[in-house]
Amino acid sequence: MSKIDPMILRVRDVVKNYGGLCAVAGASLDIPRRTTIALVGPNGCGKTSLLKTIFGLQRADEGSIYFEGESIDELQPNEVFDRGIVHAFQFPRLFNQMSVLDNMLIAARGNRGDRFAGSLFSRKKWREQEETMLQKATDTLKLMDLTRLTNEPAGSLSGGQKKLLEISRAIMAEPKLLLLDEPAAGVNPVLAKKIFEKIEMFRHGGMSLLIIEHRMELVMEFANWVYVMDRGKIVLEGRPAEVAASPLFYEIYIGGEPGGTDICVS
Amino acid sequence: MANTPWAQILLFSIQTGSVYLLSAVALTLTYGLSKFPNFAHAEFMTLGAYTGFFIANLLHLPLPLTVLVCILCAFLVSGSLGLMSYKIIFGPLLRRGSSLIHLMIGSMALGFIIRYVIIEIWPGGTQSFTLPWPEASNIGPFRIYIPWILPIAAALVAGVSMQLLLTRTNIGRAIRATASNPQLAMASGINTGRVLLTTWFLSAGLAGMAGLFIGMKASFSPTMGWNILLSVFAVTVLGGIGSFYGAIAAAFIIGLAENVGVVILAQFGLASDYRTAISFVILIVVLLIKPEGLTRLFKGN
Amino acid sequence: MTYGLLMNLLDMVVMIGIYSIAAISLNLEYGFTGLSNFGKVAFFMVGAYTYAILAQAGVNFGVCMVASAVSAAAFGFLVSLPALRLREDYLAIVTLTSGEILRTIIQNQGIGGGYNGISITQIFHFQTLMAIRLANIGLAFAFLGICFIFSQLVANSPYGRIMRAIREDQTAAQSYGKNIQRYKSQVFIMGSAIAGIGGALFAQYSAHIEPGSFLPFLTFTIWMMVMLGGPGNNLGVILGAAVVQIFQKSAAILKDYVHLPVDPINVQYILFGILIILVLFYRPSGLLKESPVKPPKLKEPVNV
Repeated sequence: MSKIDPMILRVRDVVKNYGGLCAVAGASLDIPRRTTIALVGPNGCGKTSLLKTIFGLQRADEGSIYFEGESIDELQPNEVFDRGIVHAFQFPRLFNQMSVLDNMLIAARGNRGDRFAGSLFSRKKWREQEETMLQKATDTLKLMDLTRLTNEPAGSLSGGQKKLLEISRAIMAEPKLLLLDEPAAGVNPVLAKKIFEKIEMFRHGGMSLLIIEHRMELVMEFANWVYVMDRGKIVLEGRPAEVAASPLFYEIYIGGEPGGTDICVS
Repeated sequence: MANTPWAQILLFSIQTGSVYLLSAVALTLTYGLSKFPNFAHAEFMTLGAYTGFFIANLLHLPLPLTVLVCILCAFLVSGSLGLMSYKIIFGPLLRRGSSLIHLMIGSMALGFIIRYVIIEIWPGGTQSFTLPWPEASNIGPFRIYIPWILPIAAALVAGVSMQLLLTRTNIGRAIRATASNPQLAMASGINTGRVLLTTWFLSAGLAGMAGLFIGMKASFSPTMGWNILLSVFAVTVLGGIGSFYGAIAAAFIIGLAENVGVVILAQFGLASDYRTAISFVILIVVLLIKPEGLTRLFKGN
Repeated sequence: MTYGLLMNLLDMVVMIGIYSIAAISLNLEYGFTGLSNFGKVAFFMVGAYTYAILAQAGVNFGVCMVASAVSAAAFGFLVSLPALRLREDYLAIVTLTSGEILRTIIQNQGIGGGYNGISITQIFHFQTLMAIRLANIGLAFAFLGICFIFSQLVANSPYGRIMRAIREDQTAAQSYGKNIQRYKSQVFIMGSAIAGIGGALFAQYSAHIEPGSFLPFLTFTIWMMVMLGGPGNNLGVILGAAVVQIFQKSAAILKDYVHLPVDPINVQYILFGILIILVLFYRPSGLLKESPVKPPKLKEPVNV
């Protein structure tokens, strides 16, 4: 029996190439339990790619990933989900023709009616289960101020609401580790702050977070630890304040070669 | 198998390959640009055969001239229909953001419309050309008959002109730019609407030519295009969708596989109807193992 | 004349029942799950031939029906193995082709009489044609009822919600723990089994089937029923089946009774094509809108 790994996630020397382009060039990071980790870096430095690799949406070319001490390199996203990791997409991928509520209920775990036989032969059981799930869904939607849209098709929501629903849905899945890809991108600063506060509220359940975020003020306020990525590698890590004060960080993020940060693969 | 006329089978393979080349290069053009497989492609081919048939019966010109006029008319009639179908049906559907399945269903519907219009105009099933071809003759190990050689020559001409068109002309460059990145193409001032109309015209026109050659070779019926559509799909997928050189290579691979395959199947007492089954097997294997087809081999596209 | 017309009408009702079953099967696959099965006719054909061959061997009706559903489901499973990993357009090409190949095999290997087809003794032996037709209506609609209830139960459950999610966005569904391959495969098997039942009833009623009865146009007809009626709505697709059948039979009757300068059958095909394109343009959700999964009642009212 191995003792419980203090790190919920360990990423070791992950490499991911697209064709000839190297998106992740040997990145390693650790996520302790119950912490919020921010992953920052210029556009196209491989952050999203790393997140996708962790979640199994793409295979790493090299390196290994351990979740709660077990290797998850070879797993499909649905299996990674079953282990307890949930990934919220950068650009919300909702089930557009389905209601907001259905989008939430899809994410619930352990529904007997999810199985073919169960859907037909355990009707009573799954109806009971759905009542509990419904309660949780409505509570979550309420916190996210989406209650009044419960029965609307998800496709009819505004951009900001979609973002909120994407995150609500992820929370509905009760993750042990939540991967958030720019939860505040494309929304106004007020809403961005609000989104982070909401996420923080759900953290009391003991979930860990890995967040890709550009806005340093949010990172400073909410993250416990920051990893800085540049050209596919982790180049710097530390407490938010330390990182923000580091000259290297400045060079990568703000300075660098003129225009050098934009011309990259993402 | 000792007496199998392999030289002749090779000739037939090249001939089948040439017809597939014409049709598949055409299909891959619209497939690559409009991103859906056009099932009405079958009927564009059939229409080519019937147009040629109609013209050949109408004209009383010397043979080479008749053939030339037939080819031209088949190209123009099918091409115009292709252009119109994009203008009236697929263009608007694409702009409405129709799903891939809707586009496929729409193209199937168009195919049925064309097919039954053809049946209404030319009832009675199978037809054949009554052109005064010179007798087949033996040259070396080959038996040569003009309708067999025509598609090979046409494929050569069409292949070279397409190559020149795509690489040397403005519209060709615009087509390639639109295929690889429509947004960027539009942003850099390319009239993508015109590009798409042109490709649909070219595509359907080439399909019509391919259909004409199949019709001239033997008899043909309203389901002629449909019967070879599956092989054409196999060529397109094997070549890699949207890949010009891929389609050329794949056309000859499938042409050879079908002709040799039929001979081998006959050894096991299986009918030549299984010809399509051969391309089907290739299609499945390619899709499972290498869904991008031969594109990687031809980086220069 | 009136009697003939009445018989034609009854015949039409039987066919509406049978085609509705096929439409429900496609609705499970396409309407709810978004699978582009362009080879529906193949599964229909497997059911029909299984029924015909077994019935000719003297096997009892119930067993024939079960065997038809099972063999079609097995064929569905077989096709699903390579096919369901593919993109929609490839899936369409592969399913379409497998139907054509299956027909070629039946023709050339002399299965069920090869090109000539196979005759089937009907199960109803009444004196009058009317009684036979009425009994067939009862039979077809009884099976339609079973298939309809089954499909409704599956579609309006958490399972049905996942089917819809796969249709909307496969990657997102997979990211929420759904094993999409398993779901797609199961739906494909279900759809095939139901199509097999439809095929069996078709064989029983037609009394004679041949490879020529199972052309790709039949697949297109079933698609038309689903597209017209409303994908994702089981009542809608039955309505679609009825409309398309009424249209088809009217053309056939017209051909028998009225002399026209054009062949009404050809015109009907052309009109079908135009109709489906109009549906794509102006009514892509069909006549009846998709019915959402009914959420369970909330214990306390939601405060808005």
